[in-house]
Amino acid sequence: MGTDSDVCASVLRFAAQRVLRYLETSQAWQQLGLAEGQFHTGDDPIRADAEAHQEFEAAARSHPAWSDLRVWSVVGEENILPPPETFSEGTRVIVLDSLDGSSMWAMLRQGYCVAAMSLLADSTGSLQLECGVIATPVHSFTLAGDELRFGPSFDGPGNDALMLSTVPEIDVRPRSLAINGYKARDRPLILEIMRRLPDWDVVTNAGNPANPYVVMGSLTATVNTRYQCTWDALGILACTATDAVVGNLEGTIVSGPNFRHLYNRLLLEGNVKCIPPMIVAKNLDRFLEVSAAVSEALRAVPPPDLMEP
Amino acid sequence: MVIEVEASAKIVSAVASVAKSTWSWLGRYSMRRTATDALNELLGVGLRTDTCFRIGVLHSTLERGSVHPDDAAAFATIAGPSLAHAMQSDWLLLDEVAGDLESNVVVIGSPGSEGLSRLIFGYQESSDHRLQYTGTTLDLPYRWEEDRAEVSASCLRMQPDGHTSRRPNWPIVDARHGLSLRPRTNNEGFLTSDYLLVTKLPNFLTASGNERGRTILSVGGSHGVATRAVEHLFSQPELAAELLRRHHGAPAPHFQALFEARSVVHSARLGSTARRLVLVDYVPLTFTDQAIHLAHRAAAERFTDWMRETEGRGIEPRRGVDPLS
Repeated sequence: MGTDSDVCASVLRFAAQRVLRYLETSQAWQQLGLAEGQFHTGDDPIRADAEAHQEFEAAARSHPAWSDLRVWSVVGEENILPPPETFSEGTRVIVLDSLDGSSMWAMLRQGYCVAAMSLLADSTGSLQLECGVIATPVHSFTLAGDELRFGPSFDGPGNDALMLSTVPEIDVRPRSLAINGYKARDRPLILEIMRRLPDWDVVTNAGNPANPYVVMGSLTATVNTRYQCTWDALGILACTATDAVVGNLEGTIVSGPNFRHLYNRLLLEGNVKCIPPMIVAKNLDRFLEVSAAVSEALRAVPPPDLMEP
Repeated sequence: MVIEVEASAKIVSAVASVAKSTWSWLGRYSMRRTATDALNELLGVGLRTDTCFRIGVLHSTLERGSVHPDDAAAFATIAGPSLAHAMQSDWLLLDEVAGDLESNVVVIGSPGSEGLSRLIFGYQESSDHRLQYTGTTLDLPYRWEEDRAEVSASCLRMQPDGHTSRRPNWPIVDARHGLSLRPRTNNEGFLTSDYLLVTKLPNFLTASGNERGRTILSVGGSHGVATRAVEHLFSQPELAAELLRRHHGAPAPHFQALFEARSVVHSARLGSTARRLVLVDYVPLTFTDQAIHLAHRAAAERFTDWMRETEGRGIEPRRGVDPLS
């Protein structure tokens, strides 16, 4: 029989599946008077995000195990609530980003995911990260305790595989870098990074939908150039459960427990960006290579505002 | 009163019209009203209960989402009076209804055709489409055998559309004595009998459902012949009386009742139907709080995987499936 965390993760997975299906045919299309199912890229991602949050919560509440989880609330960007001073032991708070990658969703219906994590109150009433799920339209990644599992998003967790180490680099494929949070104003910085990694493929689509693929896929590394909210960095935390190398832009490696400590400082009021810019890489060599390129690039261009959204 | 039926509006509408006529045709008025009320109370259905009905839509010989006529007939029997009453008052037909697992739940069909039964009784579909018993929920005296790898015998029956089908001759497993009770066939291989399992359990699917005393009623035969034959429970007063007599004085409202459907006749117009039902065994059931908790936990753990098995990403037609595969 699984642990309580496994059951909680299963509930998150189930609700995420419902949201993914909802996002495929968002009701936001109706704003433009189109029939359901008609393709249109001009949809309102803000509305879709808000409705996806409601969809997640409704789905989670329909799960037979919901009442067992003792969830105080499902919070996130779309439902910001002031927390009580303390929680009774065993109470849970679900932190949700119901549409992580809303810009990508609006543009392409690609490169987005549902990110949800459970925080569990311990005997002192303090919240600790219990488990988390990142569900893309293709794969779901579940972090429960110190284990990372993955499987097809619309399959059940019973068929997930355990991920212990990163898929090694393949000689026939070029190295690849995914840059998170790219905005048009970042172009000078990105160009400088690309200039210092001339043999690397570079994509400007990263974050939670991409980070787990440093472990599971052929993506060599990711870099986040700004501070992030904890739910935006769930994929980074998931990678620390394997032998992927995670560290800051200056090249200092951050271990899994230390990174998890950042999560346990989570504040539930407002969008608090407490996760600094990070690099995730398949191995130490590639981590150092990306770190060097980013550090040099930052010296070559005017420094960006790392807290700027 | 709320009746939720997890089936398409088209199916419910079709079945409801059958129910109205079936209700009188079954001769339920021929039974004394007190006997009917007592039977409804025993089964946990009736006009005063909020019930979620589920009809099997996973029959391996039909397109997923289709209801077998035998299951539809059984549903009409069980839900008939409630449906007829509802149609006269606050009848609401929707394209989609989400069932409430915290209410009383009635499931029509064995785990082979009815998806929620798999979660309730502990069945899991393997990657090669074998439906295997896992026994992770409640230990019960009887269960269905639905794994084709465990059944070598086959049987013939006529379907209501007139064609003849060959199916594995699914037995009922008597877990207490290690026996397999197999429906009988004649020399040509046609069914001459079938077994019906009626099970009433506490609704352990959700914590609140159990705390509020809600129940699960399952009506499912080895084959559809016995599932449909539940109608005799309401048209054979002596059968109902025997069941009530066996139940009288039982320590709890939960039970398993095994019936044998006999005198099966085969008609191109009606398919294979049984002319009478005989009570073979009645077993009262009691469960400890620990057993209920473990069953709930097992169902909750399985739920997400179960949704994938039984729902998928949409209706998946299963064309060209060999019924004996």
